[in-house]
Amino acid sequence: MSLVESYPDGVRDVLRDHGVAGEDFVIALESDIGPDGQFGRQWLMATPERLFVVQQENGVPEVARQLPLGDVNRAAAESMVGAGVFRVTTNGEPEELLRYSNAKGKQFGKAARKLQEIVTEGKEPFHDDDEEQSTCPSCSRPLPPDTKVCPQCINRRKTLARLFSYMMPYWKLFLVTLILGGLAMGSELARPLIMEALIDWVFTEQRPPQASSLMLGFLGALGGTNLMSQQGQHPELFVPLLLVLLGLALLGLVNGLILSRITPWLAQILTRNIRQELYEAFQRLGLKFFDKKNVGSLMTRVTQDTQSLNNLLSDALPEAFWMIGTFVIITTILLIKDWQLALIGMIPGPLVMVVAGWFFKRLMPNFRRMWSRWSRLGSVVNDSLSGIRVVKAFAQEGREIDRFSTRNDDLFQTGVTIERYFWVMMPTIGFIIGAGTLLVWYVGGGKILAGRISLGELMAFTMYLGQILPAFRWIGRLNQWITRSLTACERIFEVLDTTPEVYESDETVSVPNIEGHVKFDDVTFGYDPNKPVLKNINIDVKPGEMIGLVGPSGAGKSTTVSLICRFYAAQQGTLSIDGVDIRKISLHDLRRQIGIVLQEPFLFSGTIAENIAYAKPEATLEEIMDAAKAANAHEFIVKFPDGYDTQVGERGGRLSGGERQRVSIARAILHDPRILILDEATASVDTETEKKIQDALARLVQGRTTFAIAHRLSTLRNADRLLVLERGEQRELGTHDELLEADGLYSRLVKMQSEINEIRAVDG
Amino acid sequence: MSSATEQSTTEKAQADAGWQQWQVRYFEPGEIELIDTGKGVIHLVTEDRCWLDVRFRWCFPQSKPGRYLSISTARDDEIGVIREPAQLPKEARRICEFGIELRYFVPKITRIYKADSRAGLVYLITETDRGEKEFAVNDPRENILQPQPGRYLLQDVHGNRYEIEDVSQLDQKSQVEATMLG
Repeated sequence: MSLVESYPDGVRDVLRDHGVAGEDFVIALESDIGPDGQFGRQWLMATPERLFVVQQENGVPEVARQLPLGDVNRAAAESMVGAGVFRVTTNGEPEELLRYSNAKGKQFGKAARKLQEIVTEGKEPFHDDDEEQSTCPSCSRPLPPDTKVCPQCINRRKTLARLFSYMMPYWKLFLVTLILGGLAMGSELARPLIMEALIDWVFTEQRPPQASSLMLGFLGALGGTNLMSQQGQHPELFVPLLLVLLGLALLGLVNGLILSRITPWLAQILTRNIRQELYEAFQRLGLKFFDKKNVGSLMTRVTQDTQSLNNLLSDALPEAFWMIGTFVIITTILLIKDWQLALIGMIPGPLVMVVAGWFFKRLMPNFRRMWSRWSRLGSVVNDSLSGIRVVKAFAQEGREIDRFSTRNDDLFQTGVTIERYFWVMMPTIGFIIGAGTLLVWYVGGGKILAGRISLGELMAFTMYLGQILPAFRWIGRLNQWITRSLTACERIFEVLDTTPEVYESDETVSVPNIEGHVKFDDVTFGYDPNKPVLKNINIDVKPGEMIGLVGPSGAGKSTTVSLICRFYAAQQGTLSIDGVDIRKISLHDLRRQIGIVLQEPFLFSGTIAENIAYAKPEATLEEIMDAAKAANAHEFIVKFPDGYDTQVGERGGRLSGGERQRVSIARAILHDPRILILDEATASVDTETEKKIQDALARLVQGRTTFAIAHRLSTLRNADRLLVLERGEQRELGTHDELLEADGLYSRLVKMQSEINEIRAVDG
Repeated sequence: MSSATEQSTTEKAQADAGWQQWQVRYFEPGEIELIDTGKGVIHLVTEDRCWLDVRFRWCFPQSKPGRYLSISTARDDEIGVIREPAQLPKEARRICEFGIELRYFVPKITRIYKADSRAGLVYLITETDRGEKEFAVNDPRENILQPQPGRYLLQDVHGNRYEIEDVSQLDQKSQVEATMLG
């Protein structure tokens, strides 16, 4: 994402008049909202010394505002509803410079940070690898969220070629399907010719005036006679021709049976391989990738997109192959036989395409409306049935019936519209095809009467037309169908091509035995770089020290521990472990030596033993039991009928919150980390369970550098020091006593909690 | 007044003060003064203090536009709510409208030239009260809302918002294209 975009000559000229040359710009961004609040243009331009806002007055660029950067204390891009505002504070006074739509939000956010870096003379450098694209670089159209694949600009040939590369290991089977497909097509296309021969040589005496030598040779071989020298009917050809028809039907059957075994297998094996590769790619990607995407859309890639790929391979491509093949061959046959009749016969084709296109253009929005209304109806049913207790408790049954009734009527209206279109479209297309066939009969009949073609030829003609004309209905849709499938493929390839999280590189430093010295040196970080959620954090943690992270919701506590796990990297400042920049530490070494216990512990489907041994699969059964014992979990585990072999269910749903927590602590104990992170580990359990967990944690933190987050401040009484955060800023740092004496935020929080506890005690 | 009554009155006053912290503070039209710095920044003066660089937000932008305007600090701490901004003195009303315009950029669609669906996105070419605009909407179920019959709220892939106040007031072609909105 560049901060220097191209700008019009007029802008360059007007700034040159102010003594600025183009090469001096560090920022040159165009806004899409004009100074009058209409969609329009204005520019934010900055050199290392000055800042300009250029606006257009009657189409002529003019400098509307200029500021020496030395006067600027702060620059910020502020998000509004549907737009953003670029503001600066000069000599302590804020002012708005320009506005832009959200499409430009990221660029102006980055510009604000760049300016901030300049005005603080590099004291606030920012590291930004966030190159998220929101518009297609080729066509500038907006990209769908969570992907860089533009449905408009998809390179079909490239995508298909890549798809075919997955077929290479199975090329022999693929070749067999092609040959069999060709044979099936041949048998289908030969049938009208055999019918023609039956009519012209067996049932009637009228011969085609220009019978092809191929046909004569074929019939001669079949009947064993020289047909040209003989007049009249040839009953001896009757049975052989029927047998040929039977043979063709059998060939089609056998081909179909073989293809029905090979094609789905091929499609499924390719889909399986790509699905596998996709899932492996997901596992290798960093958390940053997942932050920008919602789980639903990623699930869609694994399920629907791979299904789309399967549809492409098993349906769309064979269908396209069949349609294009038959179309080309039949057209060639018809043109060779009688080009005039062929052209007349083809007239309905384009007409059918136009009419079908007209109807589909009107049907598709209605289909969309139908899906949308179905889903809204589903929401109403789901809402009211899921919340039926609330509905009844507030006696709102009538209101729910009214809501359903409105949605139901909407659905009815759209359904009627769609049906009406269909009921008009199908007979219209049928009529066009029928009229076209009638025209062929009319012209062809005349030719028969004139002795220029035979009845058999005309019959073959109409049979061929019958094979291809209905296909015109779908030819227009086929393109869209394939595009949709290829877009799905491209979305899959996008994940496969995303750079995975780098575990080891040339610059990585191996730290096989972390001591646990963690240092935050002026660390600033934001998931969206425009909105830092941690600002200038400084703390030096000694090995084995326990640090409590305290602060209101949204203060940045969980983000702090995410940086220690290197789920994300700081944008400013340095976070180091044992003196090594965390970005350089081998991820294998780092994650192997960090343990984490979360507020909502995540257990995987499987047994309790498997979950405890998750981070150390080679652990012995005794190690597992020792860890469970230390975590105060052993007692409840052995009470289960299946003991350690108890299935925990999906996400550990068969265990209570406290049980899940103790299993996760056992998992962390077995992992034996050097740095331990406790993220609200006792927040969601009752007092008695909390006591058990506290005891387990006390054993766990021994000798490990520990970062503990807790809203209940009493749980941090064992912490050596407390880091108090508020709105991402470091407010206080010190021991419990020091902070109470300082009478600051921590002291206030402690008092508030004491009052709440007193109220609880009185209520209780 | 007995000492017991005095104590009780003090406790009640303390309880009221505590409770007030959890109540919305409403400003009557004459209680506040707004100052426009002329640089896109607005200050608020209340009876007890002056608030620099304040922000405006509608509490019910969809269902009650024009009523209940929340004023907050630059750090998003609410100062109070104006029930009926239309009843403010003329100058204060002007500054309010300016502040609101700063915050909300929701072009109103007056014509739909083309609406097209491709690969799950709805592409629209429109005329709005802020000029012509081409945009794309993803996941129409989430991003095209119909709060009342005929009224549509759209949010494009960048988070920009658009509104169709009443689809039946658009021209015939726009209404046909609007079928795509569901």
